[in-house]
Amino acid sequence: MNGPRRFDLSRLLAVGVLISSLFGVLVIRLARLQLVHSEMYLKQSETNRVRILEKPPLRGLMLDRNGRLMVDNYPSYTLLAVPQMLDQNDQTRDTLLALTGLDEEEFNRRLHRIPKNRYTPVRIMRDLDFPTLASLEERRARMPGIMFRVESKRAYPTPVAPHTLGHIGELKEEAKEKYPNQQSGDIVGLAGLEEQWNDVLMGRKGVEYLEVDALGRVVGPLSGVKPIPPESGSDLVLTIDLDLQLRAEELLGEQAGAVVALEPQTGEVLAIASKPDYPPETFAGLLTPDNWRQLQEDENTPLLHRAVQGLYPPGSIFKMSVLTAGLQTETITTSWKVTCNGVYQLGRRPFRCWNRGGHGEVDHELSIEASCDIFYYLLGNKMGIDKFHDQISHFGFGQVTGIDLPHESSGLLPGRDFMDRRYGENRWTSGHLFNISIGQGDVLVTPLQSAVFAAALANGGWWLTPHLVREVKQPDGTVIPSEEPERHETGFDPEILTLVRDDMLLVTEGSHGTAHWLYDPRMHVAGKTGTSQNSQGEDHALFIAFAPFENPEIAVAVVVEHGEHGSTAAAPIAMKLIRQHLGLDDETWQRYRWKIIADRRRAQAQLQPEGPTE
Amino acid sequence: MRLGRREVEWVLPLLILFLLGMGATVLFSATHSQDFSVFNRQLLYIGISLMLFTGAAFLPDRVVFAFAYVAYIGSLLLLLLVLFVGTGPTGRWLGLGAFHIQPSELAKLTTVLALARFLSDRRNDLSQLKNILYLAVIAALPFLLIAIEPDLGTSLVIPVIAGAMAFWGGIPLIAMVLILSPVAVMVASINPYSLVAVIGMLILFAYVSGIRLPLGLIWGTVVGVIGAFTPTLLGHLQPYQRQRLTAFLNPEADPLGSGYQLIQSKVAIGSGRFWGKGYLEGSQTQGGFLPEQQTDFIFSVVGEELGFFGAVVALFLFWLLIVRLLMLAKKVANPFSSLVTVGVGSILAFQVIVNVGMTTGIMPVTGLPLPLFSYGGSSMMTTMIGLGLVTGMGSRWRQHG
Repeated sequence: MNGPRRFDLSRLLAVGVLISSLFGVLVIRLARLQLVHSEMYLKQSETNRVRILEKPPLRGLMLDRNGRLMVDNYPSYTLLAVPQMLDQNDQTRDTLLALTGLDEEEFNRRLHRIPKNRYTPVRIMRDLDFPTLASLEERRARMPGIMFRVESKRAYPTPVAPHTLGHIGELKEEAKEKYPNQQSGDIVGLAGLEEQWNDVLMGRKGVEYLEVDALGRVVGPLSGVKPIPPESGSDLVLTIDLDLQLRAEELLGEQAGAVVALEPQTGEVLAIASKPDYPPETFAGLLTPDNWRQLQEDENTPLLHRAVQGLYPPGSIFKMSVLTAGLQTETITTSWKVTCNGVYQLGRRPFRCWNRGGHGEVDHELSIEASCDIFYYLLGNKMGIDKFHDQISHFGFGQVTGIDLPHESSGLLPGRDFMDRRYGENRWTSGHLFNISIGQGDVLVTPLQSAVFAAALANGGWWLTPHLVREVKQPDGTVIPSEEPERHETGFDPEILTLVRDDMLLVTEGSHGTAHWLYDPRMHVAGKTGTSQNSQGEDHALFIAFAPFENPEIAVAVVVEHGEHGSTAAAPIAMKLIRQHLGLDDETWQRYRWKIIADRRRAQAQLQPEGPTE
Repeated sequence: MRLGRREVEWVLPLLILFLLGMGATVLFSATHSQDFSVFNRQLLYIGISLMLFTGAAFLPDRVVFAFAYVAYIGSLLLLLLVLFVGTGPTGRWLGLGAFHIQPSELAKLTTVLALARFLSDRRNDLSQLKNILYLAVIAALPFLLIAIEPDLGTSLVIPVIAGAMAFWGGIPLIAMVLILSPVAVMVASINPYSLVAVIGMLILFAYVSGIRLPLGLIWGTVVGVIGAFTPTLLGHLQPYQRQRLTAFLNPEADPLGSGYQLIQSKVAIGSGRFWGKGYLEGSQTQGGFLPEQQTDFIFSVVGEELGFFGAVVALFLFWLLIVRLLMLAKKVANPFSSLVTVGVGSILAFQVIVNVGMTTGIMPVTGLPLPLFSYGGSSMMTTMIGLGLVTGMGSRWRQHG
């Protein structure tokens, strides 16, 4: 027709033959199903047929950095029911309601959770207690349509870090969007690491195909279909040091607050504690609505992960950032001095130093060591809000750190935009700036941000995204190290940071140091105390530190809510934690302590009278 | 039949009416126990489709030819639009007042028109690599836009159309084999025996066709690398990545859902035996065991209620339809019409084979509807427009020579 190859009839024929032979394959397939194996299928269709039972995967475990088990699995019994069978049989339904104690509405909701599903068994109740299980098992023959399945629940060999580890539970229809790979009703991580790392921990569920008779009793596995075995989830090896974590929680004790300890060079979280807390087993199996309500409504907010969600005015621990910013922007030089006589008069309003007696002449060194407020009022005011916000944000304040935990708070670092919005353009004054320059007013930080700040100072100007997972151990034993954490450069002059670090050493070692009473001659600790006013009551006590000074291995932040003084409530916790991490014992220090203090007193008596420590 | 100077094509409309009738009857059985509105809407769609069919049949060829590229570009724009403002459970629909259209269905037909217009031009000789590349671009645009919706099942129709039309349009056999071989090797690499068989066939072909050495070496390397790395690639995926990959290939699939559908579909078809359980008597169908029964799994109703006999009758009608299309492709005078006819035929053939293969469990669950049977307006209307065009073209042929 049109050249040698175009519209070549043999090609049309070839297409026809190909299509016809594929149709032939379909006919053969139909014959196989409908003529050869029809008896089997007819039986399956008559005996009411096929049940599909999900086989839940074994969830991955969590281990501490030294391989000690933190989250384990423990078998528990789950009650399942086939919607179609129970809808037909009121008697079974009533017995079930009586035995499980569920109210009818809740029972129906669970039974019909999966839309359009009539024949697949759905979970009615997890973690049956033994008496219920026994009485159900006894009546099972008279209750068509119910089944049991062994599912694991979480177990905690050492009850520790409930907020960080998180918990698991049934995926509710409303929350489905957050878990694209899961169906509602699946057991998924709902908080903490369980939530963040759900896809890794979860594994993949398998499916078993069963043949059942007209009464819903399982006849056996369905012939001709291979079951899909579940794939176990991967284990998480955490960065947490279980001993240090336990110690941190023990040191906080009954006090509300948080402790975060990081390895500055790697960003690994060694300990992250939040109090008050709750026993981790609370959510492991069956949680009654009453328990849940009680936890949620508790005014001490035990469910709040204070280390990453708690917002506190940083108080004086903020001062290093203001000093660094001031030196970096050349607002001041290293020789800049102010005179502190305990109060600074701004117009008619007095701004006081915590030390009512005054610090006298204060340079940058003394401003950190003795924590003079007047120095920072004036420095902040001289620098102005724009430089203040610009520079200090390099330390990570006012933004989430990116730790692998859900719902992290970003804190608040006020800038011009914020102040204009909060107080109206030009309606805010130097007084506001005075306040935020000493970490009061609108500045809010999380304990984690404070620890990152300490790590950045320890490293001399950079920090890594803090993280909790070291490696992922797959079920076949392969180990995948976690992604390299992101490195953040603060961009500050290293010389300035060296200076600031030296000043921080004086806090524990200098004669005016606000935490000098905690001096331990066996280790050099750079730190800073903080005491922050808040609207809820007594001042919060804060302390950040890193050690050993020369080559930091640990950076710590401690917040004790309403602890009144950073040096007495927060600093001792940090020092004890650092001692433990460095392998030093407390008793030796206790024994030396009085001697050291006496020596100090004698030396200082000749210099000047000492005010109360901050 | 002659009407004035026209030879009216009546076989095609007759076959279509049979298939539509059978489809509607079966759909009624699948849905009547739950919801009448589905059946009523489908009747409405069939009515509209018949009007569109008639209208398309009366469109002069040159008008279709003139608007081929415009329609193609228009449907590409709709495909782009659906990426941003798609609605419906899977985000593949465009809302138009009370109606929703599925641009991917429309794109199948317009791609056929665009390819037909391109290939009907004698200057676009497919023995030149340049022209093959142009053709590949025309096909790749709608393919990619549909694939990223994501609707890989529907998008696979496009390369099949392009392949069939290029084949009919005179692409050199050797080029066809070169293009298909990587795909063949990739699919065959699932199983070592099939891989050896496919590679053996390719080597035989290379020897017979006397392919030149440099080209042969490059081709052999590419195919070899693909064949060697496909299994490694799949094996190296993390479990959750593999899960995501399967979710991408078929978003609706889940181990419970698709496994369940497949088993119930096989039980339904198998239990129908030779004569079926009788119309409206299928226990699987009437029991509502199959979630997607009125759409993708409609053929299982045919199998259960009308048995092997009914299923083979349906397949036979489809086969006749396709064979008739191929005959028309030979008969019609102008290249454009002939190419459109082959294109429409290849859409139908592919969808019927894949859909029935899926319901009987020999092909993966892809979510392709069964033409003229499955519930759904967009699919019904575009299929009928395509068939209308072809019927019109088949009625205007002049005996050449």
